[in-house]
Amino acid sequence: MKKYVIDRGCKKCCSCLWACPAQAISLTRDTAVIDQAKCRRCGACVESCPTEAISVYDLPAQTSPESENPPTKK
Amino acid sequence: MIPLNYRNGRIINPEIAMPCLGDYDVIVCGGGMAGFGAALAAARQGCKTLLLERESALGGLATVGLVNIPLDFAAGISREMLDRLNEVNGHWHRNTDPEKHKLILDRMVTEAGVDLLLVSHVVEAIMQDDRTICGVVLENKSGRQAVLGKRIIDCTGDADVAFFAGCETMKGRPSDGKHQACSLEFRLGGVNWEKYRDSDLKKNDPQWIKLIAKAVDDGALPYMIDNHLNWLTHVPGRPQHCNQDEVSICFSHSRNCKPLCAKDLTRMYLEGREQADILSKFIRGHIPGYENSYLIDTGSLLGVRESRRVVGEYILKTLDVVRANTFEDTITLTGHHLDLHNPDGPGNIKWAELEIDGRTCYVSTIGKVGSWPPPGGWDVITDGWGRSGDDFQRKVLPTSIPYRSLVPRDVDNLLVAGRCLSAEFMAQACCRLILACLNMGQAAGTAAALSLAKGLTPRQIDRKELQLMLLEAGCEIGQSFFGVPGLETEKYKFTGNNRQ
Ligand SMILES: Cc1cc2nc3c(=O)[nH]c(=O)nc-3n(C[C@H](O)[C@H](O)[C@H](O)COP(=O)(O)OP(=O)(O)OC[C@H]3O[C@@H](n4cnc5c(N)ncnc54)[C@H](O)[C@@H]3O)c2cc1C
Ligand code: SF4
Ligand code: SF4
Repeated sequence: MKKYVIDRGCKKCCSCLWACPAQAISLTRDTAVIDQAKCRRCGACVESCPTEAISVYDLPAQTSPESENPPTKK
Repeated sequence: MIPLNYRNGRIINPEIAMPCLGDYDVIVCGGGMAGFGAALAAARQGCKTLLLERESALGGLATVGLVNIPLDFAAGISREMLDRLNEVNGHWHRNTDPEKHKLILDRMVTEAGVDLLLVSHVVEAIMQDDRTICGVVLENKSGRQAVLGKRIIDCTGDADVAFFAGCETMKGRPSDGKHQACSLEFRLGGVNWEKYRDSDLKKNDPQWIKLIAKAVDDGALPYMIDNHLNWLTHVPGRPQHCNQDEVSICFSHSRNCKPLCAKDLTRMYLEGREQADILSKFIRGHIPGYENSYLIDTGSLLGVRESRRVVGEYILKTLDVVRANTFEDTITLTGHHLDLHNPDGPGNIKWAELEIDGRTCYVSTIGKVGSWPPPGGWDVITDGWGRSGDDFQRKVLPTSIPYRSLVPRDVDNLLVAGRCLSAEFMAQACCRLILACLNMGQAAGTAAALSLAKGLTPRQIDRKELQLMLLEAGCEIGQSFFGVPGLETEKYKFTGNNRQ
């Protein structure tokens, strides 16, 4: 199971917001954020981010992506 | 050879006979992203097309200017161009290799049968009458020449041709005429990208701001060039994992710019190169992953964000941007937000002063962001309907650009595309992204072809016919978000997810 997290210095350019087919990404004052409940784990946002701000983590099988467990970095 | 005839500080140019290069259906002036899109679209519709560019390569700011981050909607020619770049490992996550990008543009225009003249500066418009353009004068190594065209598309970024043709134009911020800050991009090599990408510093804007303030205090930076360093992007196709990554950087800034004045352009090139020297040393000394980096180059085209804009049949309003207003004649979309590089100080400004219901509002599409708050502080920020605080609504739909913003009001047979479109100052600050410019170009080139086929002026064409041609070519003209009035057929129905 993969988890997509915007945690490497988002510049709020909004490119990923338009790229996401699930409209799972929204903007807060400091960063764009992915709504894990809506995310379909397709990876389109990673491809669209010019600053490589979106990380992909491998979660142990059976973990809910909404869980706050510290993810393991891919 | 001209005789010296000096009067009142001017040299008088006597009547001269210029060779005429020929007669074209469509002449596209300026080969940046907009000009590339326009020429390709016109030629693909069967028009005999000439593309004139003063630099030695196509792409304008996106290649020669080293602005290698093609953002916005990739559909139609934009999508095709990114696919072609992908084939040669010249694009990843919206970063391009400027050299490969130039080559792909060369190939695509050549394959489409466009006649291309590089190193050719357009210097004058030829008018059949006050209202009708019919050609341009250009200067290059072969001297001063003329060329005639049935439709002219101004993609010079500076609306040079529209200006020469006598169109009314707009310049700078209405309050004081100041333009957005200009930037000279530069590239660093010898970078350990992964070390930088995973560093705490990259994640943390306040840390950047502190680091820069400290460098100014220590003298590592002689003055506040900008108060944040945010765009260091990873150029594709270089050896990775061996500290040989390459990074493209937008950090230098010239303020109080006069981008239409050669003397001030010279000042900004000199200043940009001095800043690249200072900044590359600062980056090497302070930023993880850059310990062994070196300066590769600075752009050979200065990054002018905004200069002259034409007055068109419609002037795209800042209010249209902040409210995501739609138009019957939308020809492309942009997903950018209000984004002004401060004309006269460090940092950027992401709100606009607007009258809403008789009240002065400071409007943002995203909220309390940017380097500087409006007068009255962050709390006065409202959305496009004047709502603030908990009622503030972030804009979630893209901005529509109408065809009428590409049609100059004062002259026939002329179209514009790219960053010189007909838009208010702050609205233009939202319409300038690379692919938005390319997409406008594709629309203008298609419109020129349609107007020729129908024997109408570009002003008179049926927007639905144009929009159908754009849809057939795979463009995003709003069908995925809003639908297109009168064209909601089964084939082009609203999907909401056909996004990039
Ligand atoms: C520093 C900077 C950073 C930016 N960052 C981004 C970003 O991250 N992502 C993004 O998508 N966009 C970005 N932009 C915006 C984007 O790069 C430009 O707005 C866009 O490339 C403009 O395209 P254009 O074709 O309209 O104009 P230009 O690229 O300016 O092209 C105009 C062309 O016309 C030629 N020309 C001009 N006058 C004449 C003449 N008289 N005769 C013949 N030829 C002429 C020029 O040489 C040039 O090639 C940035 C812009 C700047 C300046
Ligand atoms: S992985 Fe796909 S669905 Fe999830 S946020 Fe990214 S683009 Fe959206
Ligand atoms: S694309 Fe990257 S930088 Fe832009 S908003 Fe998304 S996460 Fe942030």
